[in-house]
Amino acid sequence: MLLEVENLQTSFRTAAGFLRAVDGFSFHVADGETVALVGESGCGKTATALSLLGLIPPSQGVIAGTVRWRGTDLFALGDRAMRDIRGKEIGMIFQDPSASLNPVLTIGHQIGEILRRHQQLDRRAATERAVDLLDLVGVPEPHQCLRDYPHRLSGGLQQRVTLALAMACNPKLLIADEPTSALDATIQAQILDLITRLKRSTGVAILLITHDIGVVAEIADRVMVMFAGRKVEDAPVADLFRSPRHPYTLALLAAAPRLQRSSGNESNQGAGSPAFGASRISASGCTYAARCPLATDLCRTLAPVVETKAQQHFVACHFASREASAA
Amino acid sequence: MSALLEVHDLKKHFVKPAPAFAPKPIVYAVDGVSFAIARGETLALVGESGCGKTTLGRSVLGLHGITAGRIVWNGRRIDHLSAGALRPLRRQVQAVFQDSNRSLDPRMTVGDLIAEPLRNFGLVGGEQQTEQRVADLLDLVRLARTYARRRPHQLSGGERQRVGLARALAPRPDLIVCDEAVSALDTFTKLAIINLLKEIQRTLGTALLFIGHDLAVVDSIAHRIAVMYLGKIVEIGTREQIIAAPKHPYTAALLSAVLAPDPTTRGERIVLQGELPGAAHPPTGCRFHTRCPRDFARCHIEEPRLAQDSSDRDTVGQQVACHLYNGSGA
Repeated sequence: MLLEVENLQTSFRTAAGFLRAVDGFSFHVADGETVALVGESGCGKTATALSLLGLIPPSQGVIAGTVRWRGTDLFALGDRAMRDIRGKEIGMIFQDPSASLNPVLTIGHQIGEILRRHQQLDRRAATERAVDLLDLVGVPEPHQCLRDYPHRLSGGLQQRVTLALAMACNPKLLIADEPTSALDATIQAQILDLITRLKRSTGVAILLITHDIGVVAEIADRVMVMFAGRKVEDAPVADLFRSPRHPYTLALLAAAPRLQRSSGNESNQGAGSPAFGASRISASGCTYAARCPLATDLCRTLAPVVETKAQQHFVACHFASREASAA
Repeated sequence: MSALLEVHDLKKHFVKPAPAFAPKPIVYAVDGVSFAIARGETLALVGESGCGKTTLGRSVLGLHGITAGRIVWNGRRIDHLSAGALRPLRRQVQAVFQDSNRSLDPRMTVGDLIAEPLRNFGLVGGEQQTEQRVADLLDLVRLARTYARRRPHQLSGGERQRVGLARALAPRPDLIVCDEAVSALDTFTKLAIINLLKEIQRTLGTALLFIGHDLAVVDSIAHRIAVMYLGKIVEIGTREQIIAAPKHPYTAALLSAVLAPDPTTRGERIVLQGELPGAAHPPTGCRFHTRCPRDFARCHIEEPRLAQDSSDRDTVGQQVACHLYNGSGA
């Protein structure tokens, strides 16, 4: 197994005390697999990624649980050893490419830096490899791009460059946090196309973090649905869309914007769920109970555990099986 | 159907800064756009970033002068009016922007933010009346009245957008320009704000100029849709016409880029090559020909005009600027 995460817990220090962003989250990513982590803003998706990469400084948060990377316990590693893995074996891209690129260094400098740090290439070899990488991610004029500063590039091109940076050392895993959310639909289609091609040509595994169900449908092999720091459902992509089991997943799918090719836009989409409230503070019970149309006293007192409901299909809900039979 | 707002051949060009003595390039942000919005109607403007949709919205709001063309409000031409003459009209056209963080003053309470336009336009008498009106507006956007005492940083993105909407609704405008008003919100919040906008339109009859880039979102709210590319409208029609029977290859590509929440349709899309060319140097002929999957010789030379497809009598109200349809340029 490439990545195994067990009972990950991340709490941020806030003025009002600790805020538990990730609340006992366990998952794994196999070689070459594309796993999507989906949920609404504030559900703990990004905190999960940052935690397992060791990118949350102790001054900001406390992390517990275990993360095994190809069998090695990441949390037991020192900073230096961690840096050898991050950026080399695990590549990362984030939503805002302009924030991931250093505005005062050329693209060539930034790619070269990674290649020299992780692959001990000399300047000339690094330049050659950088050109190849930019070519790989579909930058139209790679030689020119090397000399450019980030502000000269459009958002789409910047995201291609951050992909080149992430793929520079042939990582085994790419963590992509909302990689296309800031882009136009047309450019989003190009970048998703590119990620799919990179996946095929390099065999890289992907942990895709997004709130966009459409992006999940487009490239994921398996989907994990997260709510208030916990995993509520985990299934192969076709299964999840064909027979979602958790009420939250059902709501998420129903709320996804979709084209109504038939007439009338008085959509049948359900009304928005009530706002995210105090639910995440309550220690006992299902975190979704406050918003769930099916919630009973059982849900409010006893947190459901993640159970197998069908082959490869895991759900944390007391009523998931009933929901499935009704569907 | 008398139009609330008419825009005729509107142009807005910007002069780009350049080093001394170097020629200053002209950016043709909006380059000859005409449309109308009826009372209580929602017209959506869609296109990629840089197509000029925001500039067009700002022109309608009177936030900057225009280079050429006419803007007619309720039958009266307003584009050449002075700031003073425009002031009473500003009450009638309000705006909601994408970034609620930047459009709400962080030092003001929600109550003051909503009361500001009321006081500004002298729409309320005493404090008691102001408070009552603020409470009504909070009810309208489904926020608890206690929110009046909060400040923007204590609210979520969706709540802030509701405050922005309450502020826009305060002076009872006839038109609200929503510039990417829901783009930064996540799925549930987006849906809730769209439903709220639709409900407000139904009850108050407010017209909306809804600027967005996501056709799936636009589809859920618009009555008519105008598709923009590099400063021009390339296709305009009713929601049904644009979504179900698009004619322009660009509209088709935009629609195809909408990701369906359905893994069985994976990869079945037209992926446009390249990006939007700069508006300082638009391509000759049809501006879309550099990325068009169906371009031919004529497209490189002659610019198509926006017109109804003359071979298709069923498409009343749908206009397209493309040489594939013989209605144009003829």
